[in-house]
Amino acid sequence: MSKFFLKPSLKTDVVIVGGGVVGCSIARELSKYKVDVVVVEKEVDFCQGASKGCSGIIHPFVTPFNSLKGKLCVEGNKLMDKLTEELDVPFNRCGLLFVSLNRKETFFLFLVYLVMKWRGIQVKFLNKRELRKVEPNLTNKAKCALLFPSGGVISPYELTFALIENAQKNGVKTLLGTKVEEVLVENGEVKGVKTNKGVIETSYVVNAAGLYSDEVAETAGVRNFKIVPRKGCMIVFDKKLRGYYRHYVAEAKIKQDPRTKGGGALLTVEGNPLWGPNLKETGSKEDTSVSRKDIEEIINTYNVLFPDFPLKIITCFAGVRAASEKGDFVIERTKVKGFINVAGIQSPGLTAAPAIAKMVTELLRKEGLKLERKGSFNPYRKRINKLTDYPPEEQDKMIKENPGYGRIICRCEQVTEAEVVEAIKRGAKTLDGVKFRTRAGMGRCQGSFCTPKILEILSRELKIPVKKITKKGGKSLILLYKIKELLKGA
Amino acid sequence: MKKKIICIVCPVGCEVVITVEKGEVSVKGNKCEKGLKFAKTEALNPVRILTTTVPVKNGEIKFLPIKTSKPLPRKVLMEAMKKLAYVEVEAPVKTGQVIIKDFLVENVKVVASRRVKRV
Amino acid sequence: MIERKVDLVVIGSGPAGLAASIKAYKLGLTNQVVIEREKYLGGVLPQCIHPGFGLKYFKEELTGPEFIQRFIDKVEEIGIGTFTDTTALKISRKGEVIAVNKKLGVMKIKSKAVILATGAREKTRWDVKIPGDRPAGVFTAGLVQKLINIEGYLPGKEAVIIGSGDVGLIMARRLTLEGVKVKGVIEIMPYPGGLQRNIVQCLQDFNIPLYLSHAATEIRGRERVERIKIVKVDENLNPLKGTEKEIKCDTVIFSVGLVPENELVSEIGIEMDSNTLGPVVNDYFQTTAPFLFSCGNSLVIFDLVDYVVENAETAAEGVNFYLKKGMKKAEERKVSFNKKIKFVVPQRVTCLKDVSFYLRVKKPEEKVFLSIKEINWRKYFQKIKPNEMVKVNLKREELLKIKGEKITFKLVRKS
Repeated sequence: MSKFFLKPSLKTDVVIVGGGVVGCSIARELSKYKVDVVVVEKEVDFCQGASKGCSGIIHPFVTPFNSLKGKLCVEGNKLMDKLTEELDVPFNRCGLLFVSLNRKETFFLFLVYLVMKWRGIQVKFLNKRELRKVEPNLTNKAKCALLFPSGGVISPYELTFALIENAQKNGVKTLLGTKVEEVLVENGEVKGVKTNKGVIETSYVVNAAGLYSDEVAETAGVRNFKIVPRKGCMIVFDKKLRGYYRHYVAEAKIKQDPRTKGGGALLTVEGNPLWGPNLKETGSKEDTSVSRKDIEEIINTYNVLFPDFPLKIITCFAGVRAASEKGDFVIERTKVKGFINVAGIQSPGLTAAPAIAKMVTELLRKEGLKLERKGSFNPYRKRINKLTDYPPEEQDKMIKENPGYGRIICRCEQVTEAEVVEAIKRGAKTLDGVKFRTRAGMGRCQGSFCTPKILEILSRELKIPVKKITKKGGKSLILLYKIKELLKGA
Repeated sequence: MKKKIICIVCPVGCEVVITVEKGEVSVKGNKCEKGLKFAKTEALNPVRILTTTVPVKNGEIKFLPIKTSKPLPRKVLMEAMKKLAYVEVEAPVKTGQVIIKDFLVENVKVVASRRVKRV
Repeated sequence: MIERKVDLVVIGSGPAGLAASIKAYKLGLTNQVVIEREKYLGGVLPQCIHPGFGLKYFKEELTGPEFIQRFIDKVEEIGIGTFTDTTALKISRKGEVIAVNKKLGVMKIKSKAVILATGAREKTRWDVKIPGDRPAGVFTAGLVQKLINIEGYLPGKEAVIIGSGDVGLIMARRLTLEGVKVKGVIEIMPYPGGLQRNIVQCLQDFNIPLYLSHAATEIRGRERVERIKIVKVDENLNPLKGTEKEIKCDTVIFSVGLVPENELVSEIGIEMDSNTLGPVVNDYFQTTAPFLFSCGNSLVIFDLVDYVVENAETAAEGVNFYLKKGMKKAEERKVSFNKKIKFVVPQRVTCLKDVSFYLRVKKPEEKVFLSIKEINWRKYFQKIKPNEMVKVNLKREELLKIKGEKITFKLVRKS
């Protein structure tokens, strides 16, 4: 990759800055057309920012309905079935339950019900008895609920990886570990981008840089918004509790913080209960730490819904939402010709991503980009084949064809060597890269057993020494010394 | 001099009181003969078995666990580690095979603590 | 797909698995297989290169590899079928084990009995809820042990160990000997989690500070661990203001306990003990699924491998008894205990033989009696601690004196 950059410059039609779910969605959408596209991502892998740190909810709606995010959310939700089918990404339309715990909230629910009916959003009212039937473990204080059947859950990283894999297959080029330092503008027109690895000549730049989109816009001289980083922490529980509830459950609180929809209790597509997120304005784009207070806060919030829930925590994590100070998405053409901002994409960014991609494509067309459909576009992508998804007879065939399926690497999530190798072929270069593509290390032992094995496979497949392997790029090295090195005076 | 120590001969971990007067060591609190012996050495010159690994060439495993055949004086443990940092062996290795004779102290051997087959 | 029929499948080739397998073989159960998921036999012992094993069983002090080598040699000598690099994926209610292996593919092994000897996994930072960042450089003690002793790598240059369990203490010494600066061991309780001898020979010998009644509050570091925050706690484990402290380090190692691994049987639906986190067993270490036996750390966390071997051999006797004579459930008596005791294993007693009970107390106690009400049995303890498992041997004659269906262990202060 870096050799490529020794050439004076690279030429392309469109540069997408940012390899999150938004950037990758746009890349995949543009790969339907006869245009050259390069995705530039500063981290060593895709889906490293806000996309990785979100809960995975596919929202049925968000308010205000007339806002850009409100419209794109409903639109994106509708596109999700086809998209996930094409990309073979697990998607669970589990439905959102909006639960009332007191009379005030019940009254509020009635109002919400009427508004939703008027807006044409699918909704069903459940009385106490009906609610008990669908969620028997819910607190008996629950009075009634609204069920939004179009609400669902997806794995944000699996979707992002699938989008970029499919985009790559259809000709999109990607540059990882490449940071855009400046958008080159001449006479009010985009001429290219300057990166830490060289210059890319282009006439169109899509700024999907998430938390850093304001900084990228600034270099183009069109910063008319500010990113206000908002941290959200989440707790993941043991898969054994997967049957505890089925829907994405949230309390119908009347007094809502306008900056968030308040999170909920959901079940990830892999079956882990996940609670959160909460909201913290830390002012930092990098701070993804979780504090004891966060953990307590989240538990207290959702314990109200599930008072007897066994709190078997597997892990906690946080993401930073790339919200704009305006509160809405900023998706627009700018006074610089060829430069499009796709910023302020906080929740429901994941839901809206496919709709955002379509909108951005149209904006590019208006900007003058010639978009001609490509006959060769292949919309399909297959997920990594997992041994334990098949019955023993099939498993036996799989192992005979690829012996790597016969070696379990991660015992908690039952991930085989073949799956790890395939993840590396698809672009994983780090421990986290393997983890987020295969789930190896995501289970209850959190990598205590599989880490040495994955290090060995990464080293073998990538032909790099074990000591050079990182958790997530940069200086996040796993092992710092070989044995005896310190005694010999390293 | 009076000293309270925990006997580490076995996992019982008896609390033993050692008194040293005019070069004479007396021991209280031990429940066995081994404990008595341990307490006496611990008072005058504490010793420990040292275990570590050394790289093994052409073996079924990459590192051979080794140990000293007898305890070494505690104060030479780090010096011993530095010396062992430069030792390498070649497979096959038998359990108990002597890697170094007279290691730091006369009659203390470094021995292999497992078998390694050659591959 | 390979299909096999055997009398016994042993899952796991650590000290428990191998000891059970050898004992069962000696009792005539020669048609058996041992399944091991690692590339080598021995379970965790090959990485436990320190001495201290075998004092009771072999009456001499051995290192982990030496201890297990004796069992491996025996298995090879008598020719028990072992499958390494092979993972059992499922056990059916009828005792059919599905396992996979690179060379052989899927194996369906029909067996009359199964011994589970799957060992334990380590608790993680999230089991003890230590928040902060999630950088590289956070490990569990057993993982570090494997990385150093088997793979030959050192995690970093400056380490802090959280939890004073035995593995953590052993690693404190091991790291120090290899030139890593261990800047402290943090223990939230007012007493250490590991054996006293390890406090002496692993920490005191090397002047490694032990912070008792201290809690880790946060791990910080963007890419790699940079520092850890700790605070002193009161007797209710609440942080004391003004005692916060930061320790710079590049590595944080958790040694906060082990959990029996029983994922394989979660679908069978056997009765589990919420105190041990292992299955409920009788004195033959038979679970509530009659064909299924459990031993070693997957049954209950032991602190001595000698006890593991002993109980594994009893499990093998149990299998033999079950296969040859059958065992009647009705004869079992239930074990119960008072609040000061954390668990007693086995949880049921057949009264068909002498029994060794293994138990742990919840808190350190002094001058106490351990008693069994029903048979007027009692034993005095000057000191009794949670980190040291207590073993009680009772003769069959004594057990037969019990009239009811219960055996009650009580720990009471000497009045």
